[in-house]
Amino acid sequence: MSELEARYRRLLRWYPRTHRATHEEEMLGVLLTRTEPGRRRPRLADSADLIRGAARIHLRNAFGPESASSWRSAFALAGLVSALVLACDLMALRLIGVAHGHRGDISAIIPLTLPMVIALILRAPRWLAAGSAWLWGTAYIAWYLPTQVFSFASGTDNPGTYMFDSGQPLPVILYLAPIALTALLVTLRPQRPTLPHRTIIGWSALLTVAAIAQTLPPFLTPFLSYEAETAFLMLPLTVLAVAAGYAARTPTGRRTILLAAVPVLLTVGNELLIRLMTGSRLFGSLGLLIPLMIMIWLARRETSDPEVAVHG
Amino acid sequence: MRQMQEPTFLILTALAAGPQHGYGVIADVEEISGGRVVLRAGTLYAALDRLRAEGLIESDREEIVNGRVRRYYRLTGEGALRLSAEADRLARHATTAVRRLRQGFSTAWGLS
Repeated sequence: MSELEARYRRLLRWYPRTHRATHEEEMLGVLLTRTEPGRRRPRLADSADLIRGAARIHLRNAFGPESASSWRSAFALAGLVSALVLACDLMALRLIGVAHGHRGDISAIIPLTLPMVIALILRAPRWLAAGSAWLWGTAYIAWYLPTQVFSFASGTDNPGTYMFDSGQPLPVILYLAPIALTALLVTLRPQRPTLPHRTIIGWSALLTVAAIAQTLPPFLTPFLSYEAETAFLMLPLTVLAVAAGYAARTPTGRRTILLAAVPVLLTVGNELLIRLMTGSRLFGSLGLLIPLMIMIWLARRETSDPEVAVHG
Repeated sequence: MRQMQEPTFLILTALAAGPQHGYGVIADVEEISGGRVVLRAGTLYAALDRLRAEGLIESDREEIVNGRVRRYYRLTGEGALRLSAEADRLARHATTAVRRLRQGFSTAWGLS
């Protein structure tokens, strides 16, 4: 392979995988035919044209008319995934509470009613699924913010925890946004989500276990290092990164990740985000970056299944 | 119907007489436009990808030249219809422009 050909091949890596599989050799033939003998580097204009062409194809694959059905499926799945992640997180918190003897009052049941909303998201028409999501979200926020978030400001119940008050936007963003965004995604869904039940149950169980494990360090030892504590906080996000890494191999999966990223990150990554925003930039960013790298690595791993490697 | 961009029109025109491979299309477009439009590989294959998605062209056949695949493209029925409609539109505009220029010339020289 000549130096010029190797350089052209590097430029062609900007193109979608499926486009390369079909057209790489053909394009290379055209590029090399048009090049005068003795040239070792592509012309600047040719390089810019190749990158521009790759960007156009990526954009058309992502947003063109052919992507419409994939976007519809992704909207449907994003609402379901956000609700599932929220349910697993709340279930983990409730189980930990019960394990410590905090049975709570009747309002503590609100988080546990989310699986019923998920059943409606899976089975019911859109108006019913969206209505139940908004109703649940309103009830949860009405109970959660005054009792669980702003009560921290008094510093009596949970000494040493972040001191929020109702004038700060951070708790509102962290706790309201995932619920509102999940309800919004369910409202905007154009069709019912389709995901195998075994997949839903398997990943939900794994995520719940990871969310429980996330809270263990203070009970294991009071002298746990900051690095080890961050590693525990990363667990739920890492489980989701693995799931997202496999999902990212399909166009619908990639679009679902894009749509569900914010509510999911705010739900399971909020401890890491708080670290990032409250001074522990190194550990906060590492805790967010490592799962992201795992997701990208899994998504880019070659697969032998040709159905999986589709453009988008 | 959306107006056709000039490179698209020229690519479809290059394929109107029969199937062509990528380099053939580039050379033909340069010739048709009198050297004014020189397509590069990135632009050509982005356009071919879009035209294929819109159903205006399709793959005709492949051959191996110097160990590389050379793919030929051809117009579809829909592509021929779109090209024909665009050519009619341009021809109408050109005819009107020529007629009015002649009218203006005649008026200026007092011939009408």
